[in-house]
Amino acid sequence: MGFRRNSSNSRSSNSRSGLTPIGPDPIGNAANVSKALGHTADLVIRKIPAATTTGNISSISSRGASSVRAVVLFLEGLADEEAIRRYIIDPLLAESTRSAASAVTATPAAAASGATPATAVTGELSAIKSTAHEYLEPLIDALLEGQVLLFTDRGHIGKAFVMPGWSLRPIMEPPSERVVRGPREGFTETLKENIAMVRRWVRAPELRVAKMQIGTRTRTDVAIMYLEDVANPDIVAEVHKRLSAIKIDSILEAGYLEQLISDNRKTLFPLTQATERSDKVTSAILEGRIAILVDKSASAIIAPTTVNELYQSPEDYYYDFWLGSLLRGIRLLGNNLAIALPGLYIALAAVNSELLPTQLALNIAASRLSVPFPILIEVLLVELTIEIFREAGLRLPSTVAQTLGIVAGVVLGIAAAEIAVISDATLIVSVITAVASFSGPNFQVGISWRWLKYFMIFGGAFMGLFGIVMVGCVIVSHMATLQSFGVSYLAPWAPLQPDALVDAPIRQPIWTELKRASTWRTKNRRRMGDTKGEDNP
Amino acid sequence: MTFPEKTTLRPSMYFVLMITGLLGFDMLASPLISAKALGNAGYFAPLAAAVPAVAAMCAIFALQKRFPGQSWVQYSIKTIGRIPATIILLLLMITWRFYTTLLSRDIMSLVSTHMLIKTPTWVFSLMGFLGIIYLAYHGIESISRFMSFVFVPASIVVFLVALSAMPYIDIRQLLPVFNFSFWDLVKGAFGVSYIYLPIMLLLVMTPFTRDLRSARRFTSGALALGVLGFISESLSAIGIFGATGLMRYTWPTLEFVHIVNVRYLALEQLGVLLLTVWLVLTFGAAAFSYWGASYSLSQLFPKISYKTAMLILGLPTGLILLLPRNIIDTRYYLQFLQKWGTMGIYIFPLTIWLIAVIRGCGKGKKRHTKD
Repeated sequence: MGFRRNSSNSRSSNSRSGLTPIGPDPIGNAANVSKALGHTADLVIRKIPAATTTGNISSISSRGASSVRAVVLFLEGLADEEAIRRYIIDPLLAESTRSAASAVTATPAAAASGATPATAVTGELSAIKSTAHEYLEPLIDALLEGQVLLFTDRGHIGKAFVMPGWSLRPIMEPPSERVVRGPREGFTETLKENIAMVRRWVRAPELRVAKMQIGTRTRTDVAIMYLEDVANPDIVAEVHKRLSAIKIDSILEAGYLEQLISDNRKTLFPLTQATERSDKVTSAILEGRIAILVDKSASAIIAPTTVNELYQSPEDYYYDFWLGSLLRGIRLLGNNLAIALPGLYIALAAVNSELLPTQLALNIAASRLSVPFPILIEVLLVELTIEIFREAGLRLPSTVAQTLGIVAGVVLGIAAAEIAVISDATLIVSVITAVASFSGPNFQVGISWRWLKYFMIFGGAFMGLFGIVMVGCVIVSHMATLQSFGVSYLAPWAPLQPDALVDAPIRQPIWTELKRASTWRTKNRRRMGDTKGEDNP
Repeated sequence: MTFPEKTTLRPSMYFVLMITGLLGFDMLASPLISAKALGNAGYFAPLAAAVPAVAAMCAIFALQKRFPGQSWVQYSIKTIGRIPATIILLLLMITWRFYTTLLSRDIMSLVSTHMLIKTPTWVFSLMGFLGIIYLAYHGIESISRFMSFVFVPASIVVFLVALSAMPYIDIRQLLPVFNFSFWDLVKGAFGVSYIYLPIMLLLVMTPFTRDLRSARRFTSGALALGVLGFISESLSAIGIFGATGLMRYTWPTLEFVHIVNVRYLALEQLGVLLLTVWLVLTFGAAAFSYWGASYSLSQLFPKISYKTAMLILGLPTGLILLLPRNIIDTRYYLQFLQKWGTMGIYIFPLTIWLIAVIRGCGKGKKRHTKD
């Protein structure tokens, strides 16, 4: 692949649009790039001198700028310097020496054929992914992305080589989405690796990857992945539309996009699903949903989503129907306890105590006898303390966090109960709530539930069971108003979708999943053949 | 950012709206009215009361067919003229709103008795009212989703609670079976027919109908299920307390569940669990009713948007709801509206349909061809 000679017409027309054409002098081009970047300190410029006719490489200082045949530019740390030396600089120097030596013996015709270091090296580098440009601006963009630029003294053209040299994080299991059974594969911060992970799962030619850049300053690469023959084209178009409409200077994490493309920006509930698990993303794509992957972010966004999806784990499907259903049921129970238990406790212990069995009501009253605070303050005290410990625990080194957990949980709990700051009953309720709040596989929705828990607490404290019912009704009412890319957030419960409902509270047996859920309004709903996976239909 | 709504009212949503609306309307008190009308054979009252409801429903279906895609306001104006239609519709709407607000007031008294004895009624009435406004404000799709979400768990609880009360039924309390005259039955139907009033919200929902035939099927199914539910409820209540014993209770269904004590299993009394579930259904039903009135008002006066209509209705509704107890005699007005208001609402679609047929209005009119 040689450098293309561009026509003067096209160059002049683009010049009018404000682009800077590349000149024949590599040093001048390099100077222009350096100037455009404000002579940044991390820009490395390697000049390849012309060899003398005796075959020796002359020093640039002794021969002047005109003796420079090529210039290589890259940003320190972003490109692989060893690869640059081996695949660009060394071949260029060798070719320079060879061409100088052959120039002594070559015929005038051969000399005029243009055998330069540039043409030689492009032949050698043809195996490396590269792009050629006639203007400086796209090359500067490529440089900022971490590519290596090459300017030669022949032709008004520059080349950008992809030779990434930044450090990559190894593929690990996402710490917030661990499973007992299933792949230990989580996304990294490199987009192309993440795309490849999904590609390894889905080898269908119908898998589409559309890329775009968002962020005027960060120019973050964003990839949209979906199955062409399955995903609803309206939803795909809507995802494209919403992403294209974003005008922002920077995207530092997928969370930015999540907030910007949300159907309702004021809600507490996540209207898209974030995950670091590649199998979860793959499963969503196979269901007919759309995945959005963002460079430099280990989280992928799945759209559309429903509240039903947020307590499901891929692990449910790796076990058989019974185990999967049991796990899902426990998770659902955990979620409900995490939201409602403290509020219910207050309602039943303080307002509607006549509803509790007499002995239980007496026991709770006895345990609270020496506590100086009203039950609301007592519960809030414990809940807020647990919130602080939880937040602090996330930032501490794991070994210290474990120790602190023991100190905080056991020692502090016992001490607080002994000096009657809090009652044993409140401690039990708060610990169950704290543990239950971790049962859900989605960290983000877990935070939403934690917030809603406080509404329940206040509802229960001020109006007992009626308060709990009313707060619950308002929460469900709010959820009923939500949509994710046109899909009801409460689906398949509301609207009732019997085909999808069988996979909601329990896990549907895999051999009965003949069709995709109607929730996602897919183009192609069939998943299994008519044999249901049996040998003899 | 918005995206076109795809989950609009499908026929199954009609079903959920109707059945939840019916159950959330006056489920806990209806056996008292039935027993008052027909004594020990009060369980026939819900069946007899279904006759005017079915007739009105059929009239609405016929009107939907005759005036496809049009609202009750539109076809009323076409049939009887703008001014008479506006006056009649306005009167019906006021009756409907007044009645449902008084009913809500009554339910708040129930909450006060069973759940919050010390809390001033206006506090939780206001909280409930604001919640209902919030849901109604977001329109029929949100209401239908809310009802759909609560429908399955609520039905399971209601069914289990009703089932657990069955062993306490004394067959002798239900006898004699046919000890009533025809006029007693008519009186019973007249008195109890109010329980099917939510079916009349079909009038307002016409423009949302996507599949008319399925919608009819599902709505009829909901009404049939509602009739069955009310009959079995009356059977249980009369079977447990007897018609005379029942007269002691304002909310007999709650009382019959009170006798089912699953002690030390979970809660001291099962009745409160039923009340809790019923309150959720009532919340949805009240939002549905509020939406119906606001939507009708906005259709009657096209310059008023739906949300403005909600606010306009909010003020009188709030005032009636929050008026101190014993200032207005709720029970008196309730009984009056139960009898006469209900009949007015049922008779309206029948009358409009009859006039439309006589005057040949709408799609179904005969076309005269020139020979």
